[in-house]
Amino acid sequence: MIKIDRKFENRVCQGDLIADVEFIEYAEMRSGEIEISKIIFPVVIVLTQDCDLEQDFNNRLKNKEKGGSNQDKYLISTLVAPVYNVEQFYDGDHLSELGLKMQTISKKAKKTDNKFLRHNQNPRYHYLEFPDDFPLPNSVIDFKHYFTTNLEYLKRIKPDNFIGKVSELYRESISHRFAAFLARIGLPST
Amino acid sequence: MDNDDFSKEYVSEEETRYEDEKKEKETDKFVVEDKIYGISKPRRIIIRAKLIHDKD
Repeated sequence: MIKIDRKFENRVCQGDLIADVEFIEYAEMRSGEIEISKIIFPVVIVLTQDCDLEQDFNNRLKNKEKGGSNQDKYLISTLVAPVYNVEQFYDGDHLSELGLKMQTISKKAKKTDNKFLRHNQNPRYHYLEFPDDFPLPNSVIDFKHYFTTNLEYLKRIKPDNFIGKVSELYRESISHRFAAFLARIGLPST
Repeated sequence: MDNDDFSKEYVSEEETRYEDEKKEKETDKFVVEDKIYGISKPRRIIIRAKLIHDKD
């Protein structure tokens, strides 16, 4: 089980679990109309390094209060990954409302694929077992589905959509596994 | 004038405010026993809106 930091912080932090985050798929103009397609993810976790988020916050604050001389630490975007309900994930239908069918994983704890998932032996996924009094069911981060979102947007919605923050040790584990997943060397299928 | 030119930017109806001065606080969402998040699935929303063109 992971530990959760329940304190609300004024800035976006690595490990923040935030509800109802929008991802803009595209915004297209044609024939006098604009069409915007967006996916709303019920829960995401912030993956951007916390020192970068802190420096961004401090740089912006300094510029606002004291008229700083540069914007060197400003971030362009924030890296996040979706957090899926594990029960829906086992059934492979957690993305059914997007018209996607995903692989299924046995719900039986003794089955190999279930163990692999819960013991974080599959590099693509990170299993999160939350405390009973936490308002989020056990879940899975899918590193393959990472995306970026605007930092100011996250900051705006955080007061209303903040669920909790994965505490430091556990978030470092997530960060480390995510980095390893991204840095993997793709070999051709044989 | 080019049809794609427009002077008025598209403004989302969903305007939220963020107060920089907001102090740290304990969230009150943890007193609940039920799982209130992570129940729904990701969903797609498509918005279409007419562009307002500059009349100049």
